Amino acid sequence: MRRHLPPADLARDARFVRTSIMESITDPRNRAIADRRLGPARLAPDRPAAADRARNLMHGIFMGELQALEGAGRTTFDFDDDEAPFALKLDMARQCWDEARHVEISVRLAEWMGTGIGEFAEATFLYEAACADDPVLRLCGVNRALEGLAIDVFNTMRAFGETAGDPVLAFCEDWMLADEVTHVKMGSDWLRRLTADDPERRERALEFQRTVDKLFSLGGFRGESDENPVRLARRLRELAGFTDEEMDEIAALADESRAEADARAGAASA
Amino acid sequence: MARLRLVPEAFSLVDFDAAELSGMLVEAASRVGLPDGLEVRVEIDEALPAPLAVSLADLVDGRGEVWCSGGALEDTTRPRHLDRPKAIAELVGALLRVRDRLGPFADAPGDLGLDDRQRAAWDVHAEGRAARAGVTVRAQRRRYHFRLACGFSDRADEVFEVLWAAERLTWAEVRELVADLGAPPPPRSAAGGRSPSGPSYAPLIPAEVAERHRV
Repeated sequence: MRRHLPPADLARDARFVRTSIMESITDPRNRAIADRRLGPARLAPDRPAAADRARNLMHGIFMGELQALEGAGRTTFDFDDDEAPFALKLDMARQCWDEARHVEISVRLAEWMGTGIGEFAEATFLYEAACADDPVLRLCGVNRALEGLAIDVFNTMRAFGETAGDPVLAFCEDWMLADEVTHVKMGSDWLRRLTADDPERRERALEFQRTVDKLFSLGGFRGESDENPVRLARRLRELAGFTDEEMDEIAALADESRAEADARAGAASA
Repeated sequence: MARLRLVPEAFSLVDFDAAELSGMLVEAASRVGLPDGLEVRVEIDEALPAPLAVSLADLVDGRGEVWCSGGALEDTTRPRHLDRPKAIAELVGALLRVRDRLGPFADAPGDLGLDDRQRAAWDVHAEGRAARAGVTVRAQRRRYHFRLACGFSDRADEVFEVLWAAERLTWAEVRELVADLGAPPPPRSAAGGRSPSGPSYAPLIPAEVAERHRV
């Protein structure tokens, strides 16, 4: 079987349509929206178009779970035991089990909210972060950055379900959230173990994580103000092994990412 | 035949074809059966992308006045492109509500005067009729919208079925069904920015559009 599968070769049926993150970043409507001052962007049931925004995010979660499953699956196979210890692969296999369950839950949740598989386009940037040559980079890019984002997203969706009185959404997100904390912790633990004697490798991995974190702040998608649809879940991240300094850094990256998006939108309309 | 006017005449931020959309508007009006000679102006706000799917359908000085976010017509797998079935469903729903305002909903407030539960209920009533007229709709999506506005309860689901199945309700009946739910409006989150009585979609409506729809 082939090692290091590129994103283009992921198995998808005719329901799925690919998109690129650049398409949304360069959308000429971004400036017009910024100029409208539509109020807080935070996802909440009493915000405009809340149901469709939540359905959209739920489909994004489903795609993220699918790619997380594929990424963790690849890590169990792409490396020899001297590159990635057997115990690490065992953790990745355990994560696959969780992610497969999350995919099933997400499909049902999407159906509950009136969303069909493939209703929204799929961006493969999550899987792309799982294509690094070094397993430590994968652990930082996927388990710490992306699964960390999953904590923020699930926590936001759980709050959305609780506020709306939607028990199905609130419970399902809570169950998945518990798993995500363990996935992030796996990343944090393995990062420490594999780079204990190699500070340069650790710094490369952390730099990769910063790049992914910034990319996934998506022009202000995740942050700490009401202008961010998804909130940084500090307490849950703390449980997953993030330090205060690391969370401050993610918050700063999110602000930076939003400022850059605003500047891009301004330049596009100039 | 109703007199239909699409605004704008050309799109610059999205790849919508105004001629194609005008044709779809005629098709939607024909499905709804608007009265001959009724003037209807349909404005598409191309700046608002999916998933911001919002519309207003009012009667102003005897004229139909529809405003619709581009996102309500947009293909969610191909940003900035038209989704034909979705657009037809949205236009039929809006025109049905314009037609309602000529008759059994003549005493209903304008769309900016409805609360979220009333608007959600009316949308269910419109979409149920659209579905029976052969328009492709997504009933479960509509159900989720309704539950979000009216509560996740057996009683709310029963009211949904009544609204969906009814062929001709009056505004008083819809208002009563909503009031009978007995549930308070959904709790406000800390991020809520709307006025206490206004619909949640109000912040998306440009001031000049709100002024035009003030009835």
